[in-house]
Amino acid sequence: MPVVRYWTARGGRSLSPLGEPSRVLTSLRDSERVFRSVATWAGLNGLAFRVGVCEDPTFRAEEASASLVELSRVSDGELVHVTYARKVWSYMHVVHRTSSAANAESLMRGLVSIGRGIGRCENNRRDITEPLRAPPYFVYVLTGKLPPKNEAGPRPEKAAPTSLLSLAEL
Amino acid sequence: MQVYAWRTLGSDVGRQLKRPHQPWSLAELDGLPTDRAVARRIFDEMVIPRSAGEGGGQFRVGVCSDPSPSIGVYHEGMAELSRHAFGDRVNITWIRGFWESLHVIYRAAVVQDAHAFARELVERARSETTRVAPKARLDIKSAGEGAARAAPFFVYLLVGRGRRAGAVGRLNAGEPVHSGVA
Repeated sequence: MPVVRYWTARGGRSLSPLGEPSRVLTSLRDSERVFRSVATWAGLNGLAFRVGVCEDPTFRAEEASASLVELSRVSDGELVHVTYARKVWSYMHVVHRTSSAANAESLMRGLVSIGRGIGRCENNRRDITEPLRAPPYFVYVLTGKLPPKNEAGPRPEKAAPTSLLSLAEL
Repeated sequence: MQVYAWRTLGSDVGRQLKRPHQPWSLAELDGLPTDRAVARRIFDEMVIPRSAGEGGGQFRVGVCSDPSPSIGVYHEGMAELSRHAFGDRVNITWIRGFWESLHVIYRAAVVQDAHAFARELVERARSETTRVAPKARLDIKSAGEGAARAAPFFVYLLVGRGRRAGAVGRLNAGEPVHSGVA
Protein backbone atom coordinates (compact mmCIF):
# COMPACT_ATOMS: atom_id res chain seq x y z
CA MET A 1 0.00 0.00 0.00
CA PRO A 2 1.34 3.49 -0.84
CA VAL A 3 2.73 5.59 2.02
CA VAL A 4 0.32 8.49 2.62
CA ARG A 5 1.81 11.96 3.18
CA TYR A 6 -0.43 14.80 4.32
CA TRP A 7 1.00 18.17 3.29
CA THR A 8 0.53 20.94 5.81
CA ALA A 9 1.72 24.50 6.47
CA ARG A 10 4.32 24.88 9.21
CA GLY A 11 4.23 28.65 9.64
CA GLY A 12 5.59 31.23 7.24
CA ARG A 13 6.10 29.74 3.79
CA SER A 14 7.31 26.40 5.12
CA LEU A 15 5.36 23.35 3.94
CA SER A 16 5.76 19.85 5.34
CA PRO A 17 4.56 16.39 4.21
CA LEU A 18 4.32 15.15 7.80
CA GLY A 19 0.94 16.60 8.74
CA GLU A 20 -2.43 15.13 9.63
CA PRO A 21 -5.62 14.81 7.55
CA SER A 22 -7.33 17.59 9.49
CA ARG A 23 -4.47 20.03 8.80
CA VAL A 24 -3.95 19.45 5.08
CA LEU A 25 -3.39 22.61 3.00
CA THR A 26 -6.48 24.59 2.10
CA SER A 27 -4.72 27.31 0.11
CA LEU A 28 -4.87 26.74 -3.65
CA ARG A 29 -1.58 28.53 -4.08
CA ASP A 30 0.24 26.33 -1.55
CA SER A 31 -1.35 23.17 -2.97
CA GLU A 32 -0.18 24.07 -6.46
CA ARG A 33 3.31 24.79 -5.10
CA VAL A 34 3.45 21.38 -3.44
CA PHE A 35 2.11 19.68 -6.54
CA ARG A 36 4.76 21.30 -8.74
CA SER A 37 7.47 20.14 -6.30
CA VAL A 38 6.13 16.59 -6.18
CA ALA A 39 5.69 16.37 -9.97
CA THR A 40 9.18 17.79 -10.59
CA TRP A 41 10.70 15.42 -8.02
CA ALA A 42 8.85 12.52 -9.69
CA GLY A 43 10.11 13.57 -13.11
CA LEU A 44 13.71 13.83 -11.91
CA ASN A 45 13.48 10.33 -10.43
CA GLY A 46 11.81 8.74 -13.45
CA LEU A 47 8.50 8.29 -11.66
CA ALA A 48 4.96 8.61 -12.97
CA PHE A 49 2.19 10.35 -11.10
CA ARG A 50 -1.59 10.50 -11.08
CA VAL A 51 -3.87 13.15 -9.61
CA GLY A 52 -7.22 12.35 -7.99
CA VAL A 53 -9.92 13.42 -5.57
CA CYS A 54 -11.25 11.39 -2.65
CA GLU A 55 -12.95 11.61 0.72
CA ASP A 56 -10.84 9.07 2.58
CA PRO A 57 -7.15 9.10 1.56
CA THR A 58 -6.29 5.93 3.51
CA PHE A 59 -9.05 3.95 1.83
CA ARG A 60 -8.08 5.36 -1.58
CA ALA A 61 -4.46 4.39 -0.96
CA GLU A 62 -5.59 0.81 -0.35
CA GLU A 63 -7.60 0.89 -3.58
CA ALA A 64 -4.62 2.33 -5.45
CA SER A 65 -2.36 -0.51 -4.31
CA ALA A 66 -4.70 -2.99 -6.02
CA SER A 67 -5.31 -0.89 -9.11
CA LEU A 68 -3.95 -1.59 -12.58
CA VAL A 69 -2.25 1.03 -14.73
CA GLU A 70 -2.53 0.64 -18.48
CA LEU A 71 0.78 0.31 -20.32
CA SER A 72 -0.22 -0.66 -23.84
CA ARG A 73 -3.30 -1.42 -25.91
CA VAL A 74 -3.52 -3.47 -29.12
CA SER A 75 -6.69 -3.87 -31.20
CA ASP A 76 -7.36 -7.28 -32.75
CA GLY A 77 -10.66 -7.41 -34.61
CA GLU A 78 -13.29 -6.73 -31.97
CA LEU A 79 -10.84 -7.79 -29.28
CA VAL A 80 -8.63 -5.38 -27.38
CA HIS A 81 -5.48 -6.70 -25.67
CA VAL A 82 -4.34 -4.46 -22.84
CA THR A 83 -1.17 -4.83 -20.77
CA TYR A 84 -1.36 -3.38 -17.28
CA ALA A 85 1.17 -2.84 -14.51
CA ARG A 86 0.16 -3.54 -10.93
CA LYS A 87 1.57 -2.45 -7.55
CA VAL A 88 2.76 0.75 -9.21
CA TRP A 89 2.14 3.46 -6.65
CA SER A 90 4.49 3.90 -3.70
CA TYR A 91 3.53 7.34 -2.32
CA MET A 92 0.30 9.28 -2.00
CA HIS A 93 0.75 13.00 -1.42
CA VAL A 94 -2.43 14.62 -0.12
CA VAL A 95 -2.00 18.22 -1.25
CA HIS A 96 -5.35 19.93 -0.68
CA ARG A 97 -8.43 19.81 1.55
CA THR A 98 -11.72 21.53 0.75
CA SER A 99 -15.42 21.26 1.62
CA SER A 100 -16.47 21.98 -1.97
CA ALA A 101 -16.61 19.04 -4.39
CA ALA A 102 -16.64 21.44 -7.35
CA ASN A 103 -13.47 23.16 -6.11
CA ALA A 104 -11.76 19.82 -5.54
CA GLU A 105 -12.55 18.60 -9.06
CA SER A 106 -11.61 21.94 -10.57
CA LEU A 107 -8.26 21.88 -8.78
CA MET A 108 -7.70 18.29 -9.88
CA ARG A 109 -8.25 19.21 -13.53
CA GLY A 110 -5.93 22.18 -13.15
CA LEU A 111 -3.18 20.07 -11.61
CA VAL A 112 -3.54 17.44 -14.35
CA SER A 113 -3.10 20.19 -16.91
CA ILE A 114 0.01 21.49 -15.12
CA GLY A 115 1.31 17.96 -14.55
CA ARG A 116 1.21 17.09 -18.25
CA GLY A 117 3.67 19.89 -18.84
CA ILE A 118 6.02 18.72 -16.10
CA GLY A 119 6.32 14.95 -16.29
CA ARG A 120 4.60 11.63 -16.81
CA CYS A 121 1.04 12.34 -15.75
CA GLU A 122 -1.01 9.11 -15.96
CA ASN A 123 -4.45 10.72 -15.92
CA ASN A 124 -6.26 10.08 -19.17
CA ARG A 125 -9.60 10.65 -20.85
CA ARG A 126 -10.88 7.25 -19.74
CA ASP A 127 -10.54 8.14 -16.05
CA ILE A 128 -13.85 7.90 -14.29
CA THR A 129 -14.42 10.28 -11.38
CA GLU A 130 -16.50 8.64 -8.69
CA PRO A 131 -19.33 10.75 -7.25
CA LEU A 132 -18.25 12.39 -4.03
CA ARG A 133 -20.41 12.19 -0.93
CA ALA A 134 -19.65 14.00 2.32
CA PRO A 135 -16.89 16.63 2.74
CA PRO A 136 -14.07 17.20 3.36
CA TYR A 137 -12.59 16.32 -0.02
CA PHE A 138 -8.91 15.72 -0.60
CA VAL A 139 -6.87 16.20 -3.75
CA TYR A 140 -3.97 13.78 -3.91
CA VAL A 141 -1.04 12.83 -6.13
CA LEU A 142 0.08 9.22 -6.41
CA THR A 143 3.70 8.66 -7.44
CA GLY A 144 5.39 5.45 -8.43
CA LYS A 145 7.70 3.61 -10.77
CA LEU A 146 6.00 2.74 -14.02
CA PRO A 147 7.69 0.89 -16.88
CA PRO A 148 8.07 2.93 -20.05
CA LYS A 149 5.23 2.43 -22.54
CA ASN A 150 7.56 0.78 -25.04
CA GLU A 151 8.67 -1.78 -22.45
CA ALA A 152 5.21 -2.98 -21.60
CA GLY A 153 6.24 -6.61 -21.74
CA PRO A 154 5.54 -9.28 -24.29
CA ARG A 155 2.62 -8.57 -26.56
CA PRO A 156 -0.11 -11.19 -26.70
CA GLU A 157 0.92 -13.97 -29.01
CA LYS A 158 -1.10 -14.30 -32.14
CA ALA A 159 -1.65 -17.88 -33.09
CA ALA A 160 -0.10 -18.83 -36.39
CA PRO A 161 -2.63 -19.55 -39.11
CA THR A 162 -3.41 -23.20 -39.44
CA SER A 163 -1.46 -24.86 -42.19
CA LEU A 164 -2.62 -27.86 -44.17
CA LEU A 165 0.10 -29.87 -42.46
CA SER A 166 -1.16 -29.06 -38.96
CA LEU A 167 -4.72 -29.84 -39.99
CA ALA A 168 -3.55 -33.24 -41.14
CA GLU A 169 -2.01 -33.85 -37.73
CA LEU A 170 -5.30 -33.29 -35.90
CA MET B 1 -23.49 -10.73 -19.44
CA GLN B 2 -24.37 -14.30 -18.55
CA VAL B 3 -21.45 -16.72 -18.89
CA TYR B 4 -21.98 -20.45 -19.24
CA ALA B 5 -19.55 -23.35 -19.15
CA TRP B 6 -20.82 -26.36 -21.05
CA ARG B 7 -20.10 -29.83 -19.78
CA THR B 8 -20.69 -33.37 -20.81
CA LEU B 9 -23.16 -35.30 -18.68
CA GLY B 10 -22.81 -38.90 -19.75
CA SER B 11 -24.19 -38.99 -23.25
CA ASP B 12 -25.76 -35.54 -22.84
CA VAL B 13 -24.41 -32.06 -22.40
CA GLY B 14 -25.66 -29.26 -20.21
CA ARG B 15 -24.52 -25.85 -19.16
CA GLN B 16 -23.56 -24.26 -15.88
CA LEU B 17 -23.81 -20.56 -15.07
CA LYS B 18 -20.44 -19.01 -14.23
CA ARG B 19 -20.56 -16.73 -11.21
CA PRO B 20 -18.79 -13.39 -11.79
CA HIS B 21 -15.43 -12.74 -10.12
CA GLN B 22 -15.07 -16.41 -9.10
CA PRO B 23 -11.98 -18.28 -10.30
CA TRP B 24 -12.67 -21.08 -12.73
CA SER B 25 -12.63 -24.42 -10.97
CA LEU B 26 -10.81 -27.43 -12.35
CA ALA B 27 -14.15 -29.23 -12.57
CA GLU B 28 -15.56 -26.45 -14.76
CA LEU B 29 -12.56 -26.43 -17.10
CA ASP B 30 -12.04 -30.20 -17.22
CA GLY B 31 -15.74 -30.79 -17.82
CA LEU B 32 -15.82 -28.77 -21.03
CA PRO B 33 -16.48 -30.83 -24.14
CA THR B 34 -13.40 -32.02 -25.97
CA ASP B 35 -15.41 -33.79 -28.64
CA ARG B 36 -15.99 -31.60 -31.68
CA ALA B 37 -19.24 -33.36 -32.45
CA VAL B 38 -20.64 -32.45 -29.04
CA ALA B 39 -19.45 -28.82 -29.32
CA ARG B 40 -20.90 -28.64 -32.83
CA ARG B 41 -24.23 -29.83 -31.49
CA ILE B 42 -24.25 -27.15 -28.78
CA PHE B 43 -23.32 -24.52 -31.35
CA ASP B 44 -26.03 -25.63 -33.77
CA GLU B 45 -28.68 -25.43 -31.06
CA MET B 46 -27.89 -21.80 -30.44
CA VAL B 47 -26.97 -20.49 -33.86
CA ILE B 48 -28.31 -22.44 -36.78
CA PRO B 49 -31.96 -21.96 -37.73
CA ARG B 50 -34.17 -25.00 -38.07
CA SER B 51 -36.63 -23.64 -40.57
CA ALA B 52 -36.97 -20.88 -43.16
CA GLY B 53 -38.96 -18.76 -40.70
CA GLU B 54 -36.15 -18.61 -38.18
CA GLY B 55 -32.62 -17.30 -38.28
CA GLY B 56 -30.62 -14.16 -37.74
CA GLY B 57 -28.77 -12.83 -34.79
CA GLN B 58 -25.34 -11.63 -33.83
CA PHE B 59 -22.60 -14.09 -32.86
CA ARG B 60 -18.85 -14.14 -32.44
CA VAL B 61 -16.62 -17.17 -32.12
CA GLY B 62 -13.25 -16.85 -30.43
CA VAL B 63 -10.35 -18.67 -28.80
CA CYS B 64 -8.62 -17.97 -25.51
CA SER B 65 -6.32 -19.79 -23.13
CA ASP B 66 -6.74 -18.03 -19.78
CA PRO B 67 -10.44 -17.45 -19.15
CA SER B 68 -10.69 -14.63 -16.65
CA PRO B 69 -12.32 -15.06 -13.23
CA SER B 70 -14.17 -11.86 -14.17
CA ILE B 71 -15.14 -13.10 -17.61
CA GLY B 72 -18.15 -11.27 -19.00
CA VAL B 73 -17.82 -8.34 -16.60
CA TYR B 74 -18.15 -4.97 -18.38
CA HIS B 75 -15.78 -2.05 -17.93
CA GLU B 76 -15.67 1.05 -20.12
CA GLY B 77 -17.99 -0.52 -22.67
CA MET B 78 -15.91 -3.68 -23.06
CA ALA B 79 -16.35 -7.13 -21.55
CA GLU B 80 -13.42 -9.00 -20.04
CA LEU B 81 -12.55 -12.31 -21.65
CA SER B 82 -9.14 -13.55 -20.56
CA ARG B 83 -6.58 -12.50 -17.96
CA HIS B 84 -2.96 -13.57 -17.67
CA ALA B 85 -0.71 -12.31 -14.85
CA PHE B 86 3.08 -12.49 -14.92
CA GLY B 87 5.25 -10.65 -12.40
CA ASP B 88 3.91 -7.14 -11.96
CA ARG B 89 2.14 -7.20 -15.32
CA VAL B 90 -1.34 -8.31 -16.23
CA ASN B 91 -2.57 -8.94 -19.77
CA ILE B 92 -6.31 -8.64 -20.18
CA THR B 93 -8.22 -9.29 -23.38
CA TRP B 94 -11.51 -7.42 -23.77
CA ILE B 95 -14.23 -7.54 -26.40
CA ARG B 96 -16.02 -4.47 -27.64
CA GLY B 97 -19.79 -4.19 -27.82
CA PHE B 98 -22.60 -5.42 -25.66
CA TRP B 99 -23.36 -9.12 -25.61
CA GLU B 100 -26.13 -11.05 -23.91
CA SER B 101 -24.28 -14.24 -23.14
CA LEU B 102 -20.99 -16.07 -23.55
CA HIS B 103 -20.76 -19.84 -23.87
CA VAL B 104 -17.50 -21.74 -23.45
CA ILE B 105 -18.22 -24.75 -25.62
CA TYR B 106 -14.98 -26.55 -26.43
CA ARG B 107 -11.60 -27.36 -24.91
CA ALA B 108 -8.57 -28.18 -27.04
CA ALA B 109 -5.04 -29.23 -26.18
CA VAL B 110 -3.55 -27.66 -29.31
CA VAL B 111 -4.06 -24.06 -30.36
CA GLN B 112 -4.34 -25.00 -34.03
CA ASP B 113 -7.20 -27.34 -33.15
CA ALA B 114 -9.05 -24.55 -31.35
CA HIS B 115 -8.58 -22.05 -34.18
CA ALA B 116 -9.46 -24.57 -36.86
CA PHE B 117 -12.61 -25.53 -35.00
CA ALA B 118 -13.58 -21.88 -34.46
CA ARG B 119 -13.22 -21.23 -38.19
CA GLU B 120 -15.17 -24.36 -38.98
CA LEU B 121 -18.04 -23.21 -36.77
CA VAL B 122 -18.24 -19.83 -38.50
CA GLU B 123 -18.24 -21.43 -41.94
CA ARG B 124 -20.74 -24.02 -40.83
CA ALA B 125 -23.14 -21.38 -39.47
CA ARG B 126 -22.98 -19.43 -42.70
CA SER B 127 -23.51 -22.36 -45.02
CA GLU B 128 -26.23 -24.00 -42.93
CA THR B 129 -28.11 -20.74 -42.50
CA THR B 130 -27.94 -20.10 -46.24
CA ARG B 131 -29.32 -23.58 -46.83
CA VAL B 132 -32.09 -23.57 -44.21
CA ALA B 133 -33.08 -19.91 -44.05
CA PRO B 134 -31.60 -17.95 -46.97
CA LYS B 135 -33.30 -14.71 -45.91
CA ALA B 136 -31.98 -14.85 -42.35
CA ARG B 137 -29.70 -11.97 -41.32
CA LEU B 138 -26.96 -13.83 -39.54
CA ASP B 139 -24.03 -11.75 -38.27
CA ILE B 140 -21.35 -14.24 -37.34
CA LYS B 141 -17.58 -13.99 -37.54
CA SER B 142 -14.42 -14.57 -35.57
CA ALA B 143 -13.98 -12.29 -32.58
CA GLY B 144 -10.28 -11.83 -33.46
CA GLU B 145 -7.06 -13.78 -33.34
CA GLY B 146 -7.24 -13.96 -29.56
CA ALA B 147 -4.42 -14.22 -27.06
CA ALA B 148 -3.80 -17.92 -26.69
CA ARG B 149 -0.67 -18.63 -24.62
CA ALA B 150 -0.63 -22.05 -23.00
CA ALA B 151 -2.79 -25.15 -23.17
CA PRO B 152 -5.62 -25.80 -22.68
CA PHE B 153 -7.33 -23.58 -25.24
CA PHE B 154 -11.00 -22.75 -25.20
CA VAL B 155 -13.49 -21.93 -27.93
CA TYR B 156 -16.26 -19.57 -26.89
CA LEU B 157 -19.41 -18.28 -28.52
CA LEU B 158 -20.75 -14.80 -27.86
CA VAL B 159 -24.46 -14.30 -28.40
CA GLY B 160 -25.65 -10.77 -29.05
CA ARG B 161 -28.94 -9.06 -29.50
CA GLY B 162 -31.31 -10.18 -32.25
CA ARG B 163 -30.51 -13.84 -31.86
CA ARG B 164 -32.91 -16.43 -33.19
CA ALA B 165 -36.05 -16.26 -31.08
CA GLY B 166 -36.48 -19.23 -28.80
CA ALA B 167 -33.08 -20.72 -29.43
CA VAL B 168 -31.49 -19.85 -26.13
CA GLY B 169 -34.85 -20.08 -24.40
CA ARG B 170 -34.96 -23.77 -25.15
CA LEU B 171 -31.61 -24.22 -23.48
CA ASN B 172 -32.62 -22.02 -20.57
CA ALA B 173 -35.25 -24.53 -19.62
CA GLY B 174 -32.47 -26.54 -18.01
CA GLU B 175 -32.95 -29.50 -20.26
CA PRO B 176 -29.74 -31.13 -21.31
CA VAL B 177 -29.07 -31.03 -25.01
CA HIS B 178 -28.87 -34.59 -26.27
CA SER B 179 -25.64 -35.09 -28.02
CA GLY B 180 -27.23 -37.53 -30.48
CA VAL B 181 -24.54 -37.02 -33.05
CA ALA B 182 -22.80 -39.59 -35.12
